[in-house]
Amino acid sequence: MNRQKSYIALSIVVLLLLPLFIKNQFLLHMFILIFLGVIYGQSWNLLGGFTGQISFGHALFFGIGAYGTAKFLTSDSLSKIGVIFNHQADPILAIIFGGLMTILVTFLMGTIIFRLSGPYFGLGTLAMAEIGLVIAMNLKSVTNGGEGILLLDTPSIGPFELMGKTSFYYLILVLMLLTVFFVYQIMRRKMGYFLLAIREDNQAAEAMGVPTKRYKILALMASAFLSALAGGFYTLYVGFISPHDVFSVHTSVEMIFITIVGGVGTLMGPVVGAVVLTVLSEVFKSYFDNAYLIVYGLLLILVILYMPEGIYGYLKKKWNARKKVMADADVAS
Amino acid sequence: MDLFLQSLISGIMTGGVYAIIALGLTLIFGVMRIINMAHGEFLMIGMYISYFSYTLFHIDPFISIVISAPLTFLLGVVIYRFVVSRSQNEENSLILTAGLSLVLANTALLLWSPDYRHLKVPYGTEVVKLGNISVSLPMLISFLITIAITLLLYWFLNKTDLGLAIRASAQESEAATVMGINVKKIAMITFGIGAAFASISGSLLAPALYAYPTIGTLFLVKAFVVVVLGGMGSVEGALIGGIILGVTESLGSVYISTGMTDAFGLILFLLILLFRPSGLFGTATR
Amino acid sequence: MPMLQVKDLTKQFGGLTAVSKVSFSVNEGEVLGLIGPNGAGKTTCFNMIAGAMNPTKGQIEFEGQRIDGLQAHQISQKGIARTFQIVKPLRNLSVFDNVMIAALSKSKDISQAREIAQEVIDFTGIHDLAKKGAGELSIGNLKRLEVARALATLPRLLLLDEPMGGLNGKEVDQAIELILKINKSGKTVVIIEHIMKALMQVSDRIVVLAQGEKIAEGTPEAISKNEAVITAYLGEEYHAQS
Repeated sequence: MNRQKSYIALSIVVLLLLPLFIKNQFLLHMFILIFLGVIYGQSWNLLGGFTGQISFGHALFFGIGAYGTAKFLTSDSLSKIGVIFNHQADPILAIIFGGLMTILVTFLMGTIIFRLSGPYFGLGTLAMAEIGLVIAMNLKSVTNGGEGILLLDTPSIGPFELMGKTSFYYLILVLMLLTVFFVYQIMRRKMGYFLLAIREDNQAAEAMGVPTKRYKILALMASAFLSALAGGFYTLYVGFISPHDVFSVHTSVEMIFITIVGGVGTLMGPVVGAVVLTVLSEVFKSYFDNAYLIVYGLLLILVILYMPEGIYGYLKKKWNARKKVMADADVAS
Repeated sequence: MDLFLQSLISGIMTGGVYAIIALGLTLIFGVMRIINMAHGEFLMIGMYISYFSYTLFHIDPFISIVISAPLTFLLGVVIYRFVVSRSQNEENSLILTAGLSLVLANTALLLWSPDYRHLKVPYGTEVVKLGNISVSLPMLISFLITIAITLLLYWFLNKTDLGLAIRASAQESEAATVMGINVKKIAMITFGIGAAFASISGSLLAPALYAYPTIGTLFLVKAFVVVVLGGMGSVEGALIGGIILGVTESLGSVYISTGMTDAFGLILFLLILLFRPSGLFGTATR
Repeated sequence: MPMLQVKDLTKQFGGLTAVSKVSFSVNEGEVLGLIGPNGAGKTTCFNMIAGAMNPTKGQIEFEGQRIDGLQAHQISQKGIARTFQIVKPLRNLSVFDNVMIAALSKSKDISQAREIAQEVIDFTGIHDLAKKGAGELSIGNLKRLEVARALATLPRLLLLDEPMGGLNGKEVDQAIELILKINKSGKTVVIIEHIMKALMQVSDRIVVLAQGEKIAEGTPEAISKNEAVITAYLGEEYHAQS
């Protein structure tokens, strides 16, 4: 266990020091995408992997987080609340605002959406995300419709301007570490065990005294909050959002893919999935242009058919089997 | 009044095509309990087959159904045999077909570029007058074909051994096994038929709409709405659901704004999913 | 006052009446057997008592409080636990975690739940299996896990739905022993079971259902001689042959 902790500490130190050595902007951009992907995966995995509620609509939460952040920074009345250091609103507060908006929506949504289960839940969440898209397109007074929202000022956290890849690298690194830590903390507590019980058998969980509906709503809220963080970061990083960018089915699907390819229902799975898929898609983008998603799809199909426990799960299984063989050999000798 | 009748009729006609898309989806769900997320891509493939049949060989899009249906049937069978049938459970097959959808759409993107392609038939703008109401000729033809195909399916499901076997599997796959029906083979054929239906509707839509690689998603969502309206797995439900959606959209775009009609359909979809999971007319519980 | 009192319990599914005006009571400390031919409505009764289904009509009182209409986890909090006829293990978790999660809903933290789980696992004799995945167990051990999990919620009343179904002779004997041991430890038990010999051995009293209605109630000896009961069972066999 201690060895594991020192590995983790070491990797965090390496990640913190990395921008000092990497000056290549494209490489930093890759790291930013990977960290963002980790948050995608952790968010979806909390509800889909650990709680067993397969959502096809996480873009909804990503989108609300993105729009919440953008509105907080650009609307006259809202941004005044967020002014701490400079003349403009604090981007961290903006992201948190987006997260809180999402929690509000999921709280309302959670009371009805869990009437559905299995594939029906997937369809229901898909519809909810599509409704989010239609609303974002049509509620022009809030969202500016299809034209989207452009951030005109460079946001800054205290005295630090969010400009250049390095500052975004550190912002997303911190968000990612907090996300992983957050999910880890949930999963080692009572709530985590209850979520697993719900995934395995809802009726059995109820009989064991687990208030399943309440915990499903809690899981949805926590999961959605993480997606909203990712959405908020996206707003800051790209500086422009439009309904079709942030409420797209593609975002929901990407979250699922990262988790499944990496390893569903494990803490490390989404990390592995984000690394593999981000690197692969960047590599294949240069060959296939926009059609690089073929590789995404193919990889997903192969993983589901040949290693349903995901790449991380597969490696772990192999590793454990090897350890066992070696332990047996030790006993024998 | 004329405006109302006009949009009612065009709604019914569009609804017929929706019904054909949904029929494929509902058959697959009925027999395999799989929600096929790649269904829209078969429609897209149908559109492209018609487009190329016309531009390369001057085959009329409505006649090109004869090409697109068997080809996509085969594609569906192959995909089912080598990919879908190997998934382990409901949730996995859902995600698996989502992956499939991505592969098919992006293969199209790679082969045919993201360009919007329009199949212009010479009679494309001609209209038929029925009293005060005018109907576009391509739409009328496609509606007639829709009716013919629906009748054909009805006959197939009720009068042929294979059709009866499909219905038996849809109702109770265990019972079907006991009756000596090869459920796996039936599933494969059903998946093929589902794919063919999607592609037929693609061919029917080709003269009216632009074809592009990711058009499938749009119609997948519509097909979901229709299937849920009529009840998952119900053939009659898909027909009625298709027409309800078509009419709602058509009336909605005349009397309300187009953007909000989409939300209407989706909210209706969600409400039915939540409170009438067996569809508007279904009695079965799940 | 009885511990559990069921009055005029009725459940209809669509037009079908599964349970019709069934009334019985369970006294603290006893083992009550619930028998009847297939489709008699026994499991439906359990489902209603345990909160998995709402009764169409009728009342259920536990320790003087109305509990009908409560949700399953609320019933569990009140001190009633149930097992499932068709076992429902949390397949991808270990046997220990299965039991521990059941204990969690009554514990303040994980370490307390672990203690309870350990006690229950020792009590039910599945110590050797604790680290195994629940999905790997044999049916006999799965039935035992069901009981262990129910016990871990620290119930005062235990509803056992066919805990011996599918077991071999030796396992049935062990199950009988376990049920008597549970009862001796101060828990009240209601048990549905088809293995009549075993049921007669553990039950203090027996309630008989047939086609959704209560047709008899009494001591095991009285029930074994009851005309209505014999007809109900013979009737079933007669139908099975035809």
